[in-house]
Amino acid sequence: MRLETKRTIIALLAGAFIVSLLFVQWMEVVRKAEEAGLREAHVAVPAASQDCVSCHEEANAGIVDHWKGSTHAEVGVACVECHTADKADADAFEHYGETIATIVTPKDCARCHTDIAKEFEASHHASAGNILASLDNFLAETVEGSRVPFQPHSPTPGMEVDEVWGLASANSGCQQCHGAKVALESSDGSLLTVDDLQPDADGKPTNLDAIAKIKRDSDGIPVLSSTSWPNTGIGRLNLDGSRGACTACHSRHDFSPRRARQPENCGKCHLGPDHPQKEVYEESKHGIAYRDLKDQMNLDGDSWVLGEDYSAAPTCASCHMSGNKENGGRITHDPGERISWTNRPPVSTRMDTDVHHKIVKETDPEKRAKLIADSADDKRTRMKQACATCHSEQTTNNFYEQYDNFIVLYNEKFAKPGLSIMKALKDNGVISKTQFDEEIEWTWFYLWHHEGRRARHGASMMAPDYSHWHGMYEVAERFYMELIPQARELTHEARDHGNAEAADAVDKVIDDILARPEHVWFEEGAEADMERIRKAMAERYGPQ
Amino acid sequence: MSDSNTSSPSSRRTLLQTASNGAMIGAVATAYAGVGAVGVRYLYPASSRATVWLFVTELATMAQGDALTWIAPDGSRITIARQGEGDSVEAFAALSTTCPHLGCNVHWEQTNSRFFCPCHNGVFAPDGTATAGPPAEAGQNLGKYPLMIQDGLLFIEVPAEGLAAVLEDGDDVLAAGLTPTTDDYGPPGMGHDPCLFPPPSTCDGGVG
Amino acid sequence: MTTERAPSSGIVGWFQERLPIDEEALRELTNEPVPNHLKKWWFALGGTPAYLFIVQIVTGILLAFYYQPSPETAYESVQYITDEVAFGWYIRSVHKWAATLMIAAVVLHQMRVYFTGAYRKPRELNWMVGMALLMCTLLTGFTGYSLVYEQLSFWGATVGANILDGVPVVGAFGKNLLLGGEVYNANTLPRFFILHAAVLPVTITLLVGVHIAIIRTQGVTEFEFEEDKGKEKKHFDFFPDHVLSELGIGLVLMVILSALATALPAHLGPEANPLQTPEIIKPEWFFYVAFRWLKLFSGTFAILSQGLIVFVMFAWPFIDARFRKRNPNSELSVWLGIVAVALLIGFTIWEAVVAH
Repeated sequence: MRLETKRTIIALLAGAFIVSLLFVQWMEVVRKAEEAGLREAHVAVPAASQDCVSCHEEANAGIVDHWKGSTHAEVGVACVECHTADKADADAFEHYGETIATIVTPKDCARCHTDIAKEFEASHHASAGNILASLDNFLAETVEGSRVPFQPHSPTPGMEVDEVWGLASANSGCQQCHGAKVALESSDGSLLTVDDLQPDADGKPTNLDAIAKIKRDSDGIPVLSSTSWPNTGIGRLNLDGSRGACTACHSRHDFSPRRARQPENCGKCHLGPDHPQKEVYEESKHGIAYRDLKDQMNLDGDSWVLGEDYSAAPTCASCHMSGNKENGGRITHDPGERISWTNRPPVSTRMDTDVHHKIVKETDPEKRAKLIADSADDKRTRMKQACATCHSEQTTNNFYEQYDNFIVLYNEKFAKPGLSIMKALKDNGVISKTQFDEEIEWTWFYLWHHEGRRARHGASMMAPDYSHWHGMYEVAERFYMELIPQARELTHEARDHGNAEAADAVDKVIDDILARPEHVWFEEGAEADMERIRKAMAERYGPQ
Repeated sequence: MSDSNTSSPSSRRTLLQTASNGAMIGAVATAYAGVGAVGVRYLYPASSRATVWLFVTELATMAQGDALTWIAPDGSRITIARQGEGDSVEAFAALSTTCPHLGCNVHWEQTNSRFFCPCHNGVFAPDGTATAGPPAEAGQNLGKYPLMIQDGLLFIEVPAEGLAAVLEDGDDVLAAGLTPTTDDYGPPGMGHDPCLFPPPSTCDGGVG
Repeated sequence: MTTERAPSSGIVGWFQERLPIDEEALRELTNEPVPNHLKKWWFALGGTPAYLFIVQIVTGILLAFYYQPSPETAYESVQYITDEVAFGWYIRSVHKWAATLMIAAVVLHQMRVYFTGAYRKPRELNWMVGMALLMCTLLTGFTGYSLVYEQLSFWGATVGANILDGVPVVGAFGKNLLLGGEVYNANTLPRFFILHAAVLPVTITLLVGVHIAIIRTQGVTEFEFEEDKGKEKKHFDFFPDHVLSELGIGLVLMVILSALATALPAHLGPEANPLQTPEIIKPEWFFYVAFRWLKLFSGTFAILSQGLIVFVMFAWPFIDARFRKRNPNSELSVWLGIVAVALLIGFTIWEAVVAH
């Protein structure tokens, strides 16, 4: 071929080569951009924690591994930063040149996470330890266990059992969710808790006698009693006077926000026959959507604002704690801020709270209005901000009406009547002052504490089965088939034992209740109702 | 029979020749120059993630007038001081301890309230401005690192070089973090009065 | 004949006054008339590996800026090149693909030379130089792959050295020389590196120089194709025609390399673990035929037979001459060549598709 042709071809080939180089350059740019996003976050170990990491990497690889995956690690907050303790602290000890304590309390977290810790302290979560002075506690400590250690029934082959620790059920059960009262072993065999140590505002114990009795092991480390540690109950009563455990939701040592966003996290405690929030959520459409669309939930996102970073489905955290678009992404560590009814007590109460975050019990409307610092409606409005991400106002408001109606129905038809029957029995001495020693006390407990709560939770989060079959149906059965008959039997017995006055008083209460229109069907029959139903069925579906 | 280089009388032919020649040489040269550019870019050090924000300490631990030495992941020592009043980030300063003159390490002299560089006697004020010596003559002050305060916590922005993606053995890892400020004394000689800031034992009336 | 030329002006003149090169002689030396049959594309198969060799030198030098030839850090440095260095992935991928293409081109070139009988007298020496080049190229490929220090690098080197060990008499000596010890040790990787980056490139360069010098002194084999019989032999100029062709081929190769490097970039397998042999070990593709051969026949026979085959390849011009002495029209070489190529391709594919 001619030279010119050859030269032109070569020029074209060179052009093709240039194009390929441009493509290579483009690929390089794309690669760099991808790398920026995909690059593993670096880990920074502060000098003070260097030794901790080197040893515990071998000894407790899981701890260091988890920590490496945390934001703390990226930012340079390591072992000493959290575990550092003052020599004056009750549980402090020297460990390879550093003074540390095993338990990290909200006071420690508050050093950096001040606002969150304050919010949490004010919440009901932090006071979960209050159960220790409640009916449930009586169940766990006395009915299921024993407040005083007792002798074994017979020997256990293969194990020395000197005495039986009766609080084991409370320890492994209630306290693991609600929180234990952290105790150090004392040199005289007793236990030292926050009550004994009497810490000051800085968390340092002031009771010198108690301090002197702190038992230490051969390394000088204060011995934490097995009755209270390990424990990450959310209302843990810590030695430094603080209440709560941040690690209940933000599990150590990666303190993963991702985990805290998922319902399984809340589900460790918020489940079960007496408060099946997790099961209710899973039955509801919210839970169904979550299960299906979990991949679109952006769980790993730095920012997790409902309506902005994700909107596929809500989890527990979405509605009760996390920020949403409507409220400007504001997170709260006090779930009580958004709840308008408390369904914990036998009779549900409106969550009008005073300046101390306590429910206002005052009945006089004028006085009540003065005391209320944050009304139930205010709280409901906050919750509605989360609803607004997906639902129209009408849907939301109508739902709340349905919910209110349900609670009121439960309150008025079963809870208040049941409560008044029980009160009458107790006041008139028909049942003993001791709880749970008579069948009717268990019956009543089941009615409000288990079935009643289930019904109310089911209604609150739109789970029809829990509202009805696992809920109100069982409440009704318990009420009509057990509570009423058992009460009647007790009065009958009382009458037989010559206590006619008490029997009459209680019987009157029962009669008054059953005479009310909503209960009248029970003793007078409801044939008219049945006939009406039969007729309607025949009309719609033809003769059966 | 070669058909090259024969200069035909037709001017169009010559034009075509020069055009094709030019196009070819131009294109080929550009192409291989591109290769060269790729090679040069390749040899130039790769820039990894530029900087990262790391936690220093809680604000509450530093009073006005306090200073601490913080080791960055790449090993450089940074002096962080709370010099001003108030809780804003302007009250704080994070100064590099690398002398801008020729790169020696400066240290803080408590007694003289100044940074001193032993190599050529450079002197810097507490805010990092050069006041004497070669750095002052050249108007070179101590380098500053960006600081940020968030929720009562102090953060510093440093190059991410030297940060370990995975900690192995702990031998080669540079640990970022706080160290106690013990550099109140410097190496003897190099323009120092050895009794100005010695280890406490050697001189009387020295700095404790 | 030296003609008096008027001294040129400008830069050329500046150089002419200082470097007494006879322009005329130089022109005659370089601008040799090239037989027209070289315009056929398969005759460009000699220049192709030469060009690719230059690509390897350039990319290899660039890679050597970042590569660290120590077992502790070798893998990491390759990872650094692939992931962190700007265009590192590209340079590495081009280096890897150019190696494959170069070996393929060398083999194809040899086949071309073989089937066109261009190894016959007086070109036997050049054939042997070419065979030496083939061996060097294969060895360069082998040592190069070992440098990555992946699992296959380590175990491939170990297996290769053990095969060498199987050669009677000199095998053990050879293995110790190659590995710097009885087994893969701290000396091995630096040794491979020097072989790959210094000894072999220099050797290849020198051999290529000899190879081309011999061609120039003997002249390119003049061929007579059927359609050209009787016509006057045509030639074209080396410069600029053939040079431009080579330039064009070079550019085509660059485009192909870029395309391969971007579409199929070099990846990194798991790091070498001396304590654990992977389930499937294979050498690089260009050794598949040898590997398959070794698996078909065991032990010493396999090694010796391979040695014999290589020897026959080296000595082929002379063996072929013997045969053609008896029968001048013997086409034995062609048939043998066809069988050999079929076996080569067959065994390579067989090894490629099979796991063990």
